Amino acid sequence: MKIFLCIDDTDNIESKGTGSIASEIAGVIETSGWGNCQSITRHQLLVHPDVPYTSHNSSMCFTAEIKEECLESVIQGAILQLEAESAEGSDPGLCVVMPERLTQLQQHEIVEFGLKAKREVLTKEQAYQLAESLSIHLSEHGGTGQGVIGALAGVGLRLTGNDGRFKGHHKLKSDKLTVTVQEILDETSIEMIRTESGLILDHDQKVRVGDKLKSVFLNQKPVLLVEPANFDGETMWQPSMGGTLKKY
Amino acid sequence: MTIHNLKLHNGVLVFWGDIESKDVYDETVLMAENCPDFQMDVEDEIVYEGQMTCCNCRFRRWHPEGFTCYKKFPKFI
Repeated sequence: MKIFLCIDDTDNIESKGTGSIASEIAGVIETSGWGNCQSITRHQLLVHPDVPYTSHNSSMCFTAEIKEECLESVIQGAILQLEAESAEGSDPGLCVVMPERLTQLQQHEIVEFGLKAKREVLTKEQAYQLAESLSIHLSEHGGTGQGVIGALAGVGLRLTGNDGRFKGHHKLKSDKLTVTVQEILDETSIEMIRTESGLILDHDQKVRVGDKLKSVFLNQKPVLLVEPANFDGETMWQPSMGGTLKKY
Repeated sequence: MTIHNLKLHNGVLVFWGDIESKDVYDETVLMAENCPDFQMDVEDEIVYEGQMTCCNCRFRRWHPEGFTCYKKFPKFI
């Protein structure tokens, strides 16, 4: 059975990040034999003075294939990890969704909630109301519990298949400075290399790479965004960074 | 050292500006390079790979128009 698991608001200014706790929860699920987890994505929510986030207001989500009878263990395991590892003063929230138990219209409601959380200030009451109406797991684990908003929103954004960036980096086997699109596709889990405006690169195109490649979540796939740049008189592609990545 | 993009907004000091503009971004590098409190943020929050800029610092708090600083920006400003 496929699940979406998302956490939010687990950190303070000096603690480990929410992404690390998401990785730990995924580790608990796998080492306990409850299921297999997929990559973690980071989803940016609204940046606004009225939203009580620490420094960036993002949530972390992953999907997992679990044994149906292990669902309760997965939820309890995630809660234990969240309560043990969340930072002092944080307001952690957890959301677990089983898409097969929802109609697509119901899934659409979660997506809409996620998209709204990127545009406007939402409340805990709105989050709980939606979770209750869809019978999905939403729980708070300390502080004000505001993290439930981002946790539910993060599931909605992951469901879109078109939001966020993947936690971690892709690393190529060689340390060549310039590689082809084909080499990147062969050596990493990146499935597409394209520009932000949508041009998909042919497999023979050359990309000037650094030691780490960061992918974003587009069309349900890990995608490397690139842009043209000039290197000693030759125009080549290079991975996008800065403001382009920050949008995801 | 003068930083042109700092602005008092609703009583809070905000680094204000389009960070994609080179001049604005360069100021975030200048501040970070001269800041005793600079600390690289966790990997998940880094989008300016390998660069010392306030944008990568764990003490910046993103704001709709830029960012604020938990350390109230370096004292030399």
